[in-house]
Amino acid sequence: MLSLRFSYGTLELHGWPAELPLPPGVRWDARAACHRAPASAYAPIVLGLGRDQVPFEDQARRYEALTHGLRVRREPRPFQERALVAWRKAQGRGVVVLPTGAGKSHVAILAIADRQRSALVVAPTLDLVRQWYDLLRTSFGTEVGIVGGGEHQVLPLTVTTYDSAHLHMEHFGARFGLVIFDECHHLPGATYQLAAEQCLAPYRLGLTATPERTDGREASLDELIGPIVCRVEIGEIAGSFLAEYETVRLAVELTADERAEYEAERATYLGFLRANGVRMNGPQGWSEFVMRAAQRTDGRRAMRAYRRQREIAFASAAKLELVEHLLEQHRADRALVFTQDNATAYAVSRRCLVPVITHQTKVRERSEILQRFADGTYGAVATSKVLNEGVDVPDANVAIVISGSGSVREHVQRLGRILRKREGKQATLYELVSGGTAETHTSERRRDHEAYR
Amino acid sequence: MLSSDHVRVRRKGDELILPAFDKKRRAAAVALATEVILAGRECQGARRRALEEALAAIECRPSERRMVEGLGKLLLDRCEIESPQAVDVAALRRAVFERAANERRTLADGVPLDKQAVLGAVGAAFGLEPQAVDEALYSDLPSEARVVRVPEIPPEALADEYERSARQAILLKATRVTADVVCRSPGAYRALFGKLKFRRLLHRIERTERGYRIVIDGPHSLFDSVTKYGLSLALVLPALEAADELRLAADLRWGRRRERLTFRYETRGAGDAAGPAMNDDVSALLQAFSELETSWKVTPAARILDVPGLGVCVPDLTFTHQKSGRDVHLEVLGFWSREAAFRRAELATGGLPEPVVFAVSSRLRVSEEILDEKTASALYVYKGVMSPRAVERRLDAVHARLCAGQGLV
Repeated sequence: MLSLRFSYGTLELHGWPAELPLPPGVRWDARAACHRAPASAYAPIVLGLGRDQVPFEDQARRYEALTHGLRVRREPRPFQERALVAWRKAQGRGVVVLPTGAGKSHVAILAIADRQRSALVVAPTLDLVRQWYDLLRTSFGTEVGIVGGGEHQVLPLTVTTYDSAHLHMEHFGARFGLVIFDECHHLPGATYQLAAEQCLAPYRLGLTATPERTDGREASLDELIGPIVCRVEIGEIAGSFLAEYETVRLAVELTADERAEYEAERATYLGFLRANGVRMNGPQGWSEFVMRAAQRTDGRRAMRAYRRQREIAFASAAKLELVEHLLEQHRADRALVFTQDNATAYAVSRRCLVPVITHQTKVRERSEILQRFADGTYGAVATSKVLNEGVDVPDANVAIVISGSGSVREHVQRLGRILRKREGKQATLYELVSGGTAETHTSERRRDHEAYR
Repeated sequence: MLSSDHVRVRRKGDELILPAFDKKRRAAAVALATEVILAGRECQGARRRALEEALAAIECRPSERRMVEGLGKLLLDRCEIESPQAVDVAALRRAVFERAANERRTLADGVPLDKQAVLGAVGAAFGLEPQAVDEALYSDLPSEARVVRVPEIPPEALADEYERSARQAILLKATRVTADVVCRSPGAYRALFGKLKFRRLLHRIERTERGYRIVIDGPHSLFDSVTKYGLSLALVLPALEAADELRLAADLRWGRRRERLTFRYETRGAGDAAGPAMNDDVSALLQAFSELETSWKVTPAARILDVPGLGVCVPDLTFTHQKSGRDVHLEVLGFWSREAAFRRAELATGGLPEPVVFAVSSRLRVSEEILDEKTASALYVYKGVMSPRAVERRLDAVHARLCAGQGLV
């Protein structure tokens, strides 16, 4: 009899009847003397066999029906309900786009309760894994597995990172009927998308505030998860479901010494570009600069100059002084301080004596810092990029962006950290920009979003 | 292991070329390795960051930068690094930040936080000066750890390690490897296939004039050229290099643009030659059987028998029937696990291209009946040492079945 087996992230079909046409994506594999398909093809194959009344033995599926429903049932907001209905209508496969702070994770909880299947949540960072872990445990009142950050326990409800999913999906990809990709704009790409392809789950949910990618690869979300089934823009719910907010751009001046060094380093860097005909505004500008810098004797000096002039603009003395002042001004608030690099985050921590979270911070200490921030023990936390996305800090109402990339998504996500609705909450995002430096252009680029208009 | 960033390569058409480690290049590598080791020794006892900075400061030509970084990485991997902390740094941080938060909350407008007072108060509780508190605050970061011991390693050895690691680093980006291998002994082939299986790689085998062509990739490679198996392919390289001759072609997805390139590499007699030598019990049987008066001629086996989807059988000896010219092979499982015996039974019933007698020690408690007369292959369970006459009887039985047209061959 025809049998289906899950084998290292693929589906092996043994004994496929010769008279039956092969479903799309299924190929003969001479190495193993069987037909093979990506594990993600499981649902269409099984549905097709059922439709054609072909008997088969399903040794692939290892997921189960959840025995426990929601322990805490929170009334969904209208747009969350709308998202769930749309996802259900799309056979439980699709992407929901909601602004940060609008409660995307509650849509996921509703989806798990609706499908009642073992579920895997894939999140971009360990902080988010910890947060999902807490949310699932509280919502379903059951033990939750974690894969990543030194832990490896797979349970009917499990949370993992994209990195761990890429590494381990070939082993546990048959154990979940529903897979949820949080911040699913990370998924398209040669590496991470394998996690979706090697997972057997028939039901798939993607969550994001910003599906668009600079490389245009968001189109592949359709195949990996499903189409966008619901999209709610920030303007639709600001004020009613998100906190009121303002954004303030503060230009600071470099000191005379900084200015002299900045100009000298920038001249070295620009001189190299000119001498080698590199145009940084072209699509391959950066790659070309890196390549030329590696080839030429003066290339290392040019690369050093490039980094140094950025460092000066990103972490000028005036900026650090202003951060100190803003933290004092907002001493009764909860502030998140964002930087582009770890060195500046640690410099802020030492100068202002506030805790810092970077990728080097151990999981236990991260949790403790976030806990103490949430309960008000700490009034501020500095971070480089690890808190950009998703991490739920409902009481945070001030964001101070010392430095960042030109990415619109990063800037929108950072704003999202302070938008969680609280009674009477007024959120403020400060963006510190070194005047007369290239940072002003970076700032213009990242503010190109409805949220900043 | 090195990464592809540590390797300087060039492109020629759709090929990726790793410049040969000729006399000149090796001399340059040894000279750079000397500088790297020297920098390491000078930083013994210093912070890791200092060693990293010292390595980065080594002057070299732009074309040698990646090699310097690679040599530095290999040295750093061998260093003993410790994070000695006299105080519980996490507790110290907690105390500093909590006190600072409390102080800040009580500040009057326009009054800055008195950091020295915070550090002083916390330092007193931990028995540290304010300055020491500031210094200890992030002393548990990897960059702050101390390089306790830099290994004694000759520069030539470090340069050689770089050369080997560079090839592995390239294979990290491989989607598929095609290896033409020639081994002198079945044991070497067996070791190689064992490694492939351990790494969960899939393969196809073809007989070539002098050895075998093995195409290696992973399950998902059927649908997409993925580098997911790159690490496994890199880790299997030493096993391939252990062959007497190796000609390798790796399909790569190289660089940020994941360009499709091919990397070729050849080595001859550079491996550890024959791999495991023929076992004593096998050579004793070969010797004893050669002295028998029999219709069979015995030689060391030179074939691999592949059953797609089930695995590979690497026989030890091949017996050729002098009249019919038919071959029957013998694989000695000896005291291996019972599971190995059952796996061989699976191979035998699953379509072995030629019949095999599997010799199994009676200690494994396996019955010869697990292979019935419908199967061309047979099981020989022996006590103590293998008897050439008993082997001959199994060979004759298998041969009779072959001639009668029975079996699954």
